[in-house]
Amino acid sequence: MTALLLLGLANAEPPTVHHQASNTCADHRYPRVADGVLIACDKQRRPVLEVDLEGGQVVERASPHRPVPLDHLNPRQRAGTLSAQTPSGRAWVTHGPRDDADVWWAPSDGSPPRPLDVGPGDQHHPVASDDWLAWVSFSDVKLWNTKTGERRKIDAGTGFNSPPALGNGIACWEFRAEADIDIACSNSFRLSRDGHQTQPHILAGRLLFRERGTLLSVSLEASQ
Amino acid sequence: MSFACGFVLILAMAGLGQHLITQETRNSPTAWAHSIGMGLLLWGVTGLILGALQLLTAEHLLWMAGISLCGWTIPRVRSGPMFLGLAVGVILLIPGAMSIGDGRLNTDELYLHLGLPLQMLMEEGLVGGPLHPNGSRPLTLSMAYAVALGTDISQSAAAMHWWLSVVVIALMVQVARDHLERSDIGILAALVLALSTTFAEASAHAGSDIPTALGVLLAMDAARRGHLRGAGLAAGLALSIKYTAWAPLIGVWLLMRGTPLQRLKAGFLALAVVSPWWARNLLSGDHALFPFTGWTEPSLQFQFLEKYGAGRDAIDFVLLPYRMVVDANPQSFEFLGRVHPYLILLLIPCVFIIRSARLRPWALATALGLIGWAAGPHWLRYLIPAMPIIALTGAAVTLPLCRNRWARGTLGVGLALGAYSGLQGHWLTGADPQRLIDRSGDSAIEFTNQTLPDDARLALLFSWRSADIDVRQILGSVEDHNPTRHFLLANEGNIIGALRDAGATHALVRRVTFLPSNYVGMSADQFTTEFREPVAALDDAMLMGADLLFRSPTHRLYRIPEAK
Repeated sequence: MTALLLLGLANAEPPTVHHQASNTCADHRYPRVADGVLIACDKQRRPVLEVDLEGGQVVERASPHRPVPLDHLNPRQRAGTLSAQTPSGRAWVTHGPRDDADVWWAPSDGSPPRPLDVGPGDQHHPVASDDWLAWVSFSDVKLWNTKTGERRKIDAGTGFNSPPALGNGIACWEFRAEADIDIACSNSFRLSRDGHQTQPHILAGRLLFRERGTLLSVSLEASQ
Repeated sequence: MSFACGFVLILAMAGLGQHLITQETRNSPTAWAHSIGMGLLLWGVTGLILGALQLLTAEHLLWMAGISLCGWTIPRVRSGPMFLGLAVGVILLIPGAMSIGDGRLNTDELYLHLGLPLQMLMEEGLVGGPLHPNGSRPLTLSMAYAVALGTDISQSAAAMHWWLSVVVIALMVQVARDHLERSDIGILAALVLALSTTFAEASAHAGSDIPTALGVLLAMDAARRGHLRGAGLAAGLALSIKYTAWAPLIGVWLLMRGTPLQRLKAGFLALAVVSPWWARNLLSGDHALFPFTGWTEPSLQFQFLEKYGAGRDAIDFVLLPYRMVVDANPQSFEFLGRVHPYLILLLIPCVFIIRSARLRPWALATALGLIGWAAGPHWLRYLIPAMPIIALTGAAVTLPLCRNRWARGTLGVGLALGAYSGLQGHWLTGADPQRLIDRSGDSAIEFTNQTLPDDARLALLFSWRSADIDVRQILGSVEDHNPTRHFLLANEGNIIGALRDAGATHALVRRVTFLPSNYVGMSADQFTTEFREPVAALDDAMLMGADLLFRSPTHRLYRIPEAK
């Protein structure tokens, strides 16, 4: 019965296709939501387009969007990873023992960086939304309110490919269904379609995801 | 330091080899070169035995080299190379020596010539079979490179190879004097090679083509002297480095001095020298000639000849001598090289001297070398094993015709003008040496070396830069990424489990696109089955079963999870 309900939710609204944000990017981390804006790529595969999902307007940036360089941090950021910024500080991924990763935290008040989640668990994929920080550990999604200190943990079975999404008080993540990759959210929303749905992002109440190289989105509000 | 190391290793080969060449060869003026060849051959056999016993360590190999060097305490060969030949070799190959300082820039040395010995040293034994197809080749030269790599001196393998290239040039000059009556024939032939991008660039990297050419030239030298055992051993050396030596060797063998029975014995000796490598494959359950054939379950064609050259219709073969000189471009996959026009032009007078008993064997080896090359893939470097003989033959038939000053001057001007053509794509004519290597995987390889634990075993899937990666590996690349494609086709539906069973803890996947236009004559269905589907299946399997650790525009590094 629950499954049928979830299936119903998943199929409640056909996804919107965002062709203007679907060009392949040289950097696989794009298209992505950064600072509340969807950054997509032009025909030259550069992340220079700012796409307004609602109006469909596309504004070309003067220069390609780049992740914040963190060369000053110690320990050093693991290559290829993205950091996550909240008003209270920044989390980033470092090398742990063997091929394991760890997450470190640098508070905004200037106090020294400290390990946030280290040791066994391959902690990685930090993302942020407002005061909330989320990351993957032992394939769970861990959440931490950097202002209040509240912590949560979601048994998600994720972290194998791309970071979870955080926004509107909801976390969404990739999970391996029987036949392909689907997306699940903390509000019980399940996105289950033919083929793989990957790289979730949340923006303006919509869940963005990639499917066969195209960027699509569905409303999360209907499912709340 | 690397050049000193390379020189000492060549000296060590000769130190061992001089005690094992036959008496008649030992007394010949080229005994020094035969000693090097025999030493190299013996290192290969010793490496095979050490590998079979799982004793193939840097320490043992260096002991072998050290003991070989001790062979000089009782010198058996009294005369070294002609000073003229040695000087010509060193001077002409200086550009190659300068390139060695640029580092490892050659695809073949990264995936095979250095990558394979490094893997053997890590495993302390032989590798082979479908998980290490390159390790199932005859590995005589790989053992010598393993010795060089065991010294831990940067670029020592490339430097050793450079000295072997010098040996080839020096031998050409000496052979020209002994068999073609004039040293200047050898100098002209050496100039033709040194002014060819294909040969000049090859001298600067650890490769197998020039050492194979050494084996072929030694076989020719011994055959011309009537030293049948020496010829058989040298031919076996060439074949145990690279099978592409077969074509010029048949020419050498057919007109070898001796009775038919003696020729037959020399031929069997050559095959006997290679046979331990075939036996090793058979004992491992592979085809004797694996990986060049014997890909089963599913069967796979090793090589698609249509991919190479400018075509394989009758008219293409007629035009091949023209195209291989005029159209060849070192940056194009058609011929992937460039040769001095004289390599072919000097052969034109051959038609007038075919009755010369002295030159006939050279002309036959040249003809079969060229025909054998035309029958195979048309990359110019595959012609290198026959190139010294081709160049010597051309010089031998042309130089005597240039009797007066004007004719010689014209020949010299042609040589100089042709150099500009022959060296196209070489740094001497302004090309960027970095063009030789695809650097797109640098960030992924740096991450791999930084992140993977010492006990990791990395599956190289469509990825080939074996020598740049510091951990043990399986699969890797050769030809059309046959190892990876075969593995994926053989383990359809269970790729992650099969990788795990093969011992892989991680996988480095390179993004690859196969073009149907490269596989002329293949049906669309077959192309889809053999090329497109394995790529798609791999992407799917990794997404469903492995953990992505790093991704660049061209490479992805995954962790293979342990079985649940």
